[in-house]
Amino acid sequence: MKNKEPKFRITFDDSARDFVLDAFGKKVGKGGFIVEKSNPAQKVLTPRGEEIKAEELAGVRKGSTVFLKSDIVSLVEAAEAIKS
Amino acid sequence: MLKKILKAVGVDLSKLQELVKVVGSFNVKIDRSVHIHHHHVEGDTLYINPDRLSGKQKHNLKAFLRKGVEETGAVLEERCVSQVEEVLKALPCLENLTQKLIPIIPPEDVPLLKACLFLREKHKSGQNVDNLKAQIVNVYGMRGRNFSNLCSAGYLEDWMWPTYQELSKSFPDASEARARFLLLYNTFVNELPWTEFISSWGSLKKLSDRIVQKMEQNSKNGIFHLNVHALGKINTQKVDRVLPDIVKRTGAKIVRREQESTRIFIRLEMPRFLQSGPS
Repeated sequence: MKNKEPKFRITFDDSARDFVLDAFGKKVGKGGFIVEKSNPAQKVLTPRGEEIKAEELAGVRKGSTVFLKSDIVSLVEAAEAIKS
Repeated sequence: MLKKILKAVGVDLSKLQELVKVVGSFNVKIDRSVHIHHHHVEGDTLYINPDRLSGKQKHNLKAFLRKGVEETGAVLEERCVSQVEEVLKALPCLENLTQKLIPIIPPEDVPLLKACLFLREKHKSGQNVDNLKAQIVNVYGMRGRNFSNLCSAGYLEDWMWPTYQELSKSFPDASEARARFLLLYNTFVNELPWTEFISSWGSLKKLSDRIVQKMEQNSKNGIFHLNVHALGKINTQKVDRVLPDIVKRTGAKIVRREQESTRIFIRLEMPRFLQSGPS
């Protein structure tokens, strides 16, 4: 019988933030905002159109790779993504 | 699939297999702390230090993160994990109401609905929610403040859903019922026409003026009541101080009063309503 894939929870600490951003083609640009690595003039936005400062980054969720801020509204969306 | 990528990162999967046998799941944490060499397992967590990986292993770890988002739902900064866990635990309790309201409210308000219900659950359990509420207001502005207050005071169950049900009876075409509901909903959430939530900021004079203005406007629209809610000692005292002026200026009567140590609810009704008799 094939083994069932165990559940993973992937996290990172702030020391690894740049590495995680790089994995998704992003980086920290001018003013501390998260920007596209290939086009630093283009800031990464939340689904509600908010710019994201590096220290506000809560993570990345599925659904066209959405970057999350650390407010409760975004974290509820993260929980929904994990649940589904 | 993810395990295969981890192997390509150079992770000793035999250690991981032992962990899975014991706890059934595990966490992967990307951490550049100097005490972490290549990778190691501690408790239920596999720590990986990208600084200690070869170029190819780093490349594979990035692929693991991208694949991991799709397979696990999210990759999270560790300081947010406990809050997300709390939300995950609360979500099943919120489903009864969210399943009713999600199809009828604007899609952009769905995260607001869930965040406010989560906040209400925390408040019910006696936890301080000021910071969470401030976060909601920061994202949604005054609309977020209003929605949060309406949710906490029970208007989602007592007004929103019953109003939609009534409209559904009058307008069997579901799209028309929803369109009419959304008109009322937007007015209700944006303007709070027949409710007032007392906040600590603002003078008594301004508060009195606002309530009187609302009541006069409501009367013109055929609505002869206004509900006043306050939470906290300062705000409940503020209600007691402002009420005499409002009653004097509008002729309204206090037809219902519920008061606990740090909560007050007052229902005011305009005299015309009293004369014609409540239905």
